Amino acid sequence: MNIIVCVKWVLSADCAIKVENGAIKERGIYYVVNPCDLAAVEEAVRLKEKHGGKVTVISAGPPQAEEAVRACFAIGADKGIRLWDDTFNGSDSYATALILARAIKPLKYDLVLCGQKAADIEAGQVGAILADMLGIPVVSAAIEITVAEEGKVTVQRKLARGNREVVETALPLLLTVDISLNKPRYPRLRAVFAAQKKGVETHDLKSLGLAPGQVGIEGSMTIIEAFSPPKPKLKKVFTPSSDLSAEERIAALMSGGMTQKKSEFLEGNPDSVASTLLKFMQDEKFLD
Amino acid sequence: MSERKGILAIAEQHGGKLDEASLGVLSEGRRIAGKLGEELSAILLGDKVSGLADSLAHRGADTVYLLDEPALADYTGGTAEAYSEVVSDLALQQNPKIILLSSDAMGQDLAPRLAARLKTGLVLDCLDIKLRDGILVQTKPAWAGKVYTTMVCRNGGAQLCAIKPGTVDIGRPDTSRKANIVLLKPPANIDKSRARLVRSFRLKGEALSLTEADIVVSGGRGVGSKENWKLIEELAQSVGGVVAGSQAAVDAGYIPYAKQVGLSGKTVAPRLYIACGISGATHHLMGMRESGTIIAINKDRGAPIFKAADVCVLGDLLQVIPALVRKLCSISKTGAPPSAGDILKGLTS
Repeated sequence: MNIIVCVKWVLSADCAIKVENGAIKERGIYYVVNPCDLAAVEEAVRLKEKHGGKVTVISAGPPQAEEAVRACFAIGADKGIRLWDDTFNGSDSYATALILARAIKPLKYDLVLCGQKAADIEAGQVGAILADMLGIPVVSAAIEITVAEEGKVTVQRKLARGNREVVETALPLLLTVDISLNKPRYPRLRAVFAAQKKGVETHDLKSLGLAPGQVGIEGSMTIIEAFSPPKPKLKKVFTPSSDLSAEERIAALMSGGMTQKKSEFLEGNPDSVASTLLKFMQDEKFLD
Repeated sequence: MSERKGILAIAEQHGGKLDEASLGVLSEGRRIAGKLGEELSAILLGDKVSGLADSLAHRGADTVYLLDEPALADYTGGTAEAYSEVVSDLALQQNPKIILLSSDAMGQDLAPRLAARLKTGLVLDCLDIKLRDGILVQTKPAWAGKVYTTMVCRNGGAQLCAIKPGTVDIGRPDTSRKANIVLLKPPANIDKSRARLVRSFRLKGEALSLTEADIVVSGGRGVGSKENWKLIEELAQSVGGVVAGSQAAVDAGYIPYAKQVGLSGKTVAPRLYIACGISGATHHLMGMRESGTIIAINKDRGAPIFKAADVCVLGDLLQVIPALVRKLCSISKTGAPPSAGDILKGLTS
């Protein structure tokens, strides 16, 4: 079974990310293989170990992204391809999917794996767009993948709030994987060294047969205008009650129905406090 | 191509009931439609959904597109292809300026499929929408919420926006509103889906991971001892939640690291977070501040957790929790959790 895994070299969500003038501050940051994508590589290697075949890793990114490909070699990927051209700069999910699709189309593959979302912008859509461009079905949020004989695939999907779904489909197929799919193995030192010596195939705009207008900002459907620090979460206030003074009601209305959290203390007899809490939880339907 | 006009809101139902987040999507659609002077349409797919058309009208839809089809009762991995075909066909035919949906399990799967089929821009998990010259300026979280990013769609296609549930106000229904109802035909590929749903289920109680739980009961240093920690577990059991702890609780050995909430542990956003004996250090708050409702129980009036909480209980958790567990048990259908009696006796006698 030939498996292709798309990986992204991302600014790690674990570092202290600061925003300055609408851009990310470059100091004290580092890059990693997108954790979801690494889980996808691990899964591909496990499937290869079970069913045989080859794992090819593809990354659309600048020369630094070669490190991502090498990190995947170290845990068992066989082949690495990096796609880059200066015109690719500023590509969004759509343009990136197109670049990946052009590279994948001529290859022989049974299964394409992508991370559900990248840990940086979390756009969460490259997989589905890529599948559409390749003309193969997509199943999202995979947390368990079983490939049976004759290309039958059973996938368990992770939905919100503990909901799960088991879906049956067939190869060729694209799966987007959830981070909880597996725990990627720790690479052996020897494998890390060997990974440094491996060749990485590269392609650019021309060799992918693309035009400058199809990639970068020109080929994108969305554009990032700015970054900003997160805003504090706002909480809804109740419609001002008629018991309030006119002044207070105006203040409540002027706040646009939103205010920062401010609460009253519940104190006193534990029994009555507990009753109030219970009533609150029942009213808010937490106990259904 | 004719000019784009109108706004299309994708509504969602579960078992014949409109999804709460969909109401928010419609309210937001109404708000934007009003500002742009556009019409709002809604589309709803499902089994026996015609009865919901009026509620969609009351929430602001001028036109309601309905597809009543037993085979499309729910959005699943098996019906996703048919769903996206119906919605994208309507979008191609109507040419809306904006398509809104909820960024929940259905939206996160459906929206990227639509972006692909319609060859248009999509922003998932949108937290805030502003309008600039008729263009949506959308804000979404990046890097696990450490940074927000502002994005716009730029190619003149329908602007796809998946709104994060709970971030928009749900307007009051206006029962005087009437909508034009249009019945859609089932898609040709309805039984040709390349994926088939085998089964679906829901994990419950402790099988649920911390990050997925609806209710999280969390304890901190204030719990005091491993013996008292049982109270946290009792409370979690009686409200049907999952147990977690602050870093202090992990350091004290009350709970394993895997259950730590905070900057160096897990980030959670349950519907209800109950913080017991947690002072609320910044690194803890970072891990739970997105929770829907926060109840804090603490002895210290000045504890920072109270600034983040919606309900602040000033008191001794050793007295409040047993009282609460007793009340919860008395209303519970299954009665008291097996071990609750002993612990409560020991603490209150």
